Amino acid sequence: MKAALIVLLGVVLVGVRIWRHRYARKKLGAPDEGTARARRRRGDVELIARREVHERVTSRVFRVGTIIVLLGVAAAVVVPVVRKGGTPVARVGVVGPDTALVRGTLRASGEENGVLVRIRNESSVRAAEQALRSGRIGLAVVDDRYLVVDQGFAASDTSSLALFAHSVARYLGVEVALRDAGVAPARIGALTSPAPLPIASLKPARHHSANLVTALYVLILTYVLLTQYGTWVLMGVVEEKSNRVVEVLLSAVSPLRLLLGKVAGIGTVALAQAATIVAVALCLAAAVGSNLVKGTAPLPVVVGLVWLVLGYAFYCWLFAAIGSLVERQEQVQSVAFPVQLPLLFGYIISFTALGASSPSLLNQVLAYLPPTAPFVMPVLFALGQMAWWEVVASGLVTAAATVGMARLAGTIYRRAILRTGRTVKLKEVLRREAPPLSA
Amino acid sequence: MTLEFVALRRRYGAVLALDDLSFAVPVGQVFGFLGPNGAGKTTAMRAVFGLVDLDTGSVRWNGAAIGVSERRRFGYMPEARGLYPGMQIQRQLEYLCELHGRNASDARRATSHWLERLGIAARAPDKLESLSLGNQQRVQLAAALIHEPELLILDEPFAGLDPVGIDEVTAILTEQAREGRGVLFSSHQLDLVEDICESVAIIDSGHLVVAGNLDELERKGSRRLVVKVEGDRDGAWAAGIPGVAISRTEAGESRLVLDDTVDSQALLSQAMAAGPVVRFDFERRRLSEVFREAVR
Repeated sequence: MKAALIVLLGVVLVGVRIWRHRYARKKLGAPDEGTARARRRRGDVELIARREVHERVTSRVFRVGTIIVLLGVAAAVVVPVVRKGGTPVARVGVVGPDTALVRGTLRASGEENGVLVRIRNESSVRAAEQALRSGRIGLAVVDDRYLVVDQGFAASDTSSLALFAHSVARYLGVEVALRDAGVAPARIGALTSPAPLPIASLKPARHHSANLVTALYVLILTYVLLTQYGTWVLMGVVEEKSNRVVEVLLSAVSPLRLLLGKVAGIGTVALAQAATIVAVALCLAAAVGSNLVKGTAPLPVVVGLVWLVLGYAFYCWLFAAIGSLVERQEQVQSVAFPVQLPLLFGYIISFTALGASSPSLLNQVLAYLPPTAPFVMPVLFALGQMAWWEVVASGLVTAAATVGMARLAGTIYRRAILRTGRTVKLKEVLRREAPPLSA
Repeated sequence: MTLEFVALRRRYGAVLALDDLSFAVPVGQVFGFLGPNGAGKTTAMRAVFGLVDLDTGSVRWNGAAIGVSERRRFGYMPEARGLYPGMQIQRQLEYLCELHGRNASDARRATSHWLERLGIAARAPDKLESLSLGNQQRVQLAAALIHEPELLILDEPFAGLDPVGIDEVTAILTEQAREGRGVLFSSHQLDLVEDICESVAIIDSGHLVVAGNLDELERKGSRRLVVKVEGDRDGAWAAGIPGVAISRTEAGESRLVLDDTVDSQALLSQAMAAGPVVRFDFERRRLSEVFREAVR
């Protein structure tokens, strides 16, 4: 016990001495070199990223742009709901005996076709025709024998009234025939609306419409956001090259860390903006009862978002590297086009996967290639055509390729960013042979 | 503490930008880096910050290779001036100071100090693009000084400055050197360099042609003598004296170049024999002459 106390006291004394020593060094402004270096290494990327976030979020262009996009998204969600105007109503006039059979058939057909049925009695065929002409009713049922509408239906008419009328005509015909054949009214309902037979399957379903819808949303979002945010990175690099601040920055931080801070900052703003847009769209859709939220499956959404991040990580380096080759905004289009091609290719090829029942060999290969994987892999996974381990394997391939891409981009950036006066050719940069433009 | 350029070599295709360039820059004095356009000055200065892939050679600080942590303790003003035009001046300087490893409160303090010192404290919240070009130059200089660097590398710091600006920068560079920092700058304004530098290095086509203490360089070479003999406006008295060449005659004064064999006292006697001597003065070479001889 005594020995333990002595040891404890010794430990406390040594601890206090170490703490006092470190505190004194800190006060004298002589931090431990290793710690200071580690803090600086962490700190410079964070500083650069913070500046990117601050400058973008406080810029008027960004704020106005985001508001316009949010208004656009809100309009896209709300307008269809407002125009649709809720559940359609079918006003039906009944001529002759208002039997339970007729009422039951009208209601059942209404439910089947998503139509709200309002029934009123008409005193005569003439009165019903008058009501049809004036628009008070849309359909008249005369003596259980035939139906009348104001304007006949074309064969291709898929309006709710047309579908409802055809349904009523079909069921009422069967029921009247059963009644005329002497079937008791109580049994007619059971005969016309039997319980469906079960369907057995040898294999589970591949995918359902919910996953298809999710895959489509994820695909479109990935393409739009990668193109948009890649362009942000590119423009950010061009801006620093054109205003010449980059040489001052590179005197304090390495090119790779400068780029890392830049893409991390822009990526943070980009993903925050994307998340805001998606959240606003989903919340608004839920609030107004839009069918946008119906049919989205959570796991494919998560996988899609992870691939969006992986895709950004891969492509942002590419955009940064080519941004270092030019210094004027009008030169951007010419260098950006080759990078946008694989994005476009991945997007289009993924659409072909949406309609296929099984993945083609080409799609299976493209799902593992880093430039196309961010599009193809989440689609194939949402459609149930790729297992989780395949998603992970492809993710690892893309992550490894991203490291290689970052190193290559850092080299291109370092060699090209200080060459001003004209567009730098990639060949010159890779061969290190271009003459200095200023010496 | 010394900055050393050790056998730097860099070839871009057919152009040899740096050709076995070696010289040392001591701290505590203002050091001029001279050379004609395209001589390799900017490439050599960029090499200090690792902005050039050297084929061979290295830049050393206190005898050791320069890494990221050393570079953060250096200040740099590149030839191509540039900061963020749309960013607030105060935020911009604080950001650059922090990027050089200072904490936020140090950065705030240093920014206030330099903005005050350069007379632009009132413009601290403004965007850089709203300032006049002269004031933008001041901010650029502040960006190089803000983190109290051990070594200052300035590429053409006087280019585009008015006389008041030149005086300000001169005073600051001299002060920085007196505080024990290294100050290396390039310039084509040789009179200015002559006024403020203690040492210079002159390079041409990527290699060193002259380096050393300015005072010694100006004393080196053939002796130069200015003699005025009343009544002899053309310096005819000196014509034909072995080892004496008349380089120029202007306003009755003859500028003579003497070789090592000439006895100046004997020459004075010969001048006095020609008439009353009103000026007999040894003259140092101007830096511009040293430069022209070096890069001829």
